[in-house]
Amino acid sequence: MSLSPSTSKMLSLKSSDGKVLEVEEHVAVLCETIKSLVEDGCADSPIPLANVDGATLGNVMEWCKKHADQKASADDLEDWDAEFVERDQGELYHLIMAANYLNIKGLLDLICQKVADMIKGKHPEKIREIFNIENDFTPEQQEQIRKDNSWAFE
Amino acid sequence: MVTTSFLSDLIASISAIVVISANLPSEIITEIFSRLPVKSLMRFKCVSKSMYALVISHSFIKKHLRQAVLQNNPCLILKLETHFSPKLFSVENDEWKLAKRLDLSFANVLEKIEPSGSSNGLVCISDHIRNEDIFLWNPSTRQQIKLPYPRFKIPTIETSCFTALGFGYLPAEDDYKVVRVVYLYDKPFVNIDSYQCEAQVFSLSTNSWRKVRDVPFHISSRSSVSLENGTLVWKASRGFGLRMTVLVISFDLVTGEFEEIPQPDLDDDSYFELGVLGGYLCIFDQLRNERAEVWSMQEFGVKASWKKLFVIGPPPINDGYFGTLKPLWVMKSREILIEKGGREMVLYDPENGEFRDVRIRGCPRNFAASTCVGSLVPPFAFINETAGASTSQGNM
Repeated sequence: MSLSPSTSKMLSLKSSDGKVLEVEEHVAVLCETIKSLVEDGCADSPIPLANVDGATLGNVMEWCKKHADQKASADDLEDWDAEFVERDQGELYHLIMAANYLNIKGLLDLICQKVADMIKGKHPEKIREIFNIENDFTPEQQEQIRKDNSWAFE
Repeated sequence: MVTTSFLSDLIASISAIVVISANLPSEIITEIFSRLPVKSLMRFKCVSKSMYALVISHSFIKKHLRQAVLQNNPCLILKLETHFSPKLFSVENDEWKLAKRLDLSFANVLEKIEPSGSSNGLVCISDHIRNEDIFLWNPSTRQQIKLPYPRFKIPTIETSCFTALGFGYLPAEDDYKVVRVVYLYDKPFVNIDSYQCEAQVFSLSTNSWRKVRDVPFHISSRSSVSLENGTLVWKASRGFGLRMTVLVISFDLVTGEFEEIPQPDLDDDSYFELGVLGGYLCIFDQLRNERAEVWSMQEFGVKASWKKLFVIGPPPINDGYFGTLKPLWVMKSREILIEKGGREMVLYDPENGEFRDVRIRGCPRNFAASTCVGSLVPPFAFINETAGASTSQGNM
C-alpha cells in the first residue's frame, strides 16, 4: 500500500486468513462496521474481520480508497466502478458477502446491480444453479405458473 | 389467470420467506432481485416456492418500486393515433430500442383507448368520451381490473356532456384513486360555470365510488397530471369565447378539495400544456412556433416558486413540419426526453441546446407518448399477507 502524504491515522485490519492490512482511517470508516468500532474506541489493536479473507479485504479497501478520494468526480467514479465489478462470479460472491458484513451500502448497491444485470433474462434453471435454490414445486404447479406467465418467456 | 384455489393453496403452503438461496442470505437476494426488470421476475416465479412468495409479497413489490424509481429509466407507452382500432405499444426501458404491441383484448369494450395518467406503474385507461368503462392496468405484469360502473345522477350523453378523469396515488393511505367529473351541457354556451356538474372518486382499497363536494371549476382537460404528494392537476376554463381564461386547478386526494393554482407570468397569447418533470408540476408553453418555455413549480401552490427551467428554440423543423414539443422525463444525464410532434422521440440537452434522436424500432408513425415505471404493483387492493396462511393447507 502506498504511503499517503496526508497525516491520516492508520488502522490495522486482520482478515480471516490472518493477513494484516494497514489502511488509512478515513478510508476504512466507509465500512459502517469499522466506523462504529472507531467511534466506540475499540479500534486499537488489529481489528479482526472473521468473515472476510485477505484477497477480498484488499479489493474492498481498494474500492473504499477510491470512494474516499474527495477529488474523484461522479463520472470518474462511475467509470471506475464499472471496471471494478468486471469480475467472475466467485469474486463477486465474496465481495457481496463482505460488503454486507462490513455494511458498505455503496459497494453493496454496486454489486447487487451487477449481479442483477448478469441474471436478468436468464432461464429459471440457471437461477437455481447460480443461487443454489432447490425447486420445490410439483411438476403440475410448475407447469401452471409457467403457463400463467408464458409471455415472460417469449 | 391463475385459479384462485391454486394460488391460495400455494400461498398457504409457503409459511414465510426464511431461506431462498443456500448461498446468500435472503436480505441480499432481496437486494439483487429488487433490481430486476418485471419480466425477469415474472419468469423467476417458477424457480421455487420461496422465490414465488418473495415476488408476490407486498414488501418486495414496494422495494422493487423504490428501486425502479431510483433507476429513473421509465418505459414508454405509445398510443397509435388512428380513428380505427386502438393500439398501444410499450417500449422497455433498455434504452428504448424496440416498440412492442400490447395485448389490450381485455379492453375490447372500448372504442378508443386513452391513457389517463400513470402512477407507480399502473395506467388508467378509458375511452375519454364517456369515461364509464375505466380500467387500471399494469402493462409490465399485464394485470388489469375494470372499475365498477360509476353511477352518476347526470346521465352520460356523448352529445350533451363533457367528462374528465384524474388518476393518482395517495401515499398517506397507500391507495390509488380515480376521479370522474361530468358536466351537463343542457343550455347554450354563455357562462361556462353555470353548467351542472357531478364528481365522484373511486378508491382501489374499498373498490367503490364516493361523491365529492362541489366542483367549483370547469375542467377542460380530459385527464389529469398527478403529483407525488397525492394531488391531481388539470387545466380548467372560466368565461367563454374572447373572455375565456385558462386556469390551472388541483384536487387534493386527502382533503377532497379543489383549488386554483397560480400560474407564472406567461405571454398573453401563449398556449400551454401541463406536465410533471422531476416530480414538479410543469407548464410547457409553446410560443407561436418560435420557442418553447418550460416552467417548473418548485413549491406547490406558491406563485413565486415558478422557475423557468429552460427555453427550447427556435425549434428544429424536420421533414417540413413543425411539431409541438411534449417534454416527458428528466434523465439521469439531465437530458430531457421529449416527444416531438407525435412522430419522434428526442433527448434534449438544456446545457448546449442539442437534440439527439431516440430510434425506436417498430414505432408507430403517429403516436402520443407517455411514461410509466416498470413495477409489480397490482391493480387491486393488497390482501393482508398473513391472510393466505389461515386457509387450509390444501393439496400440497
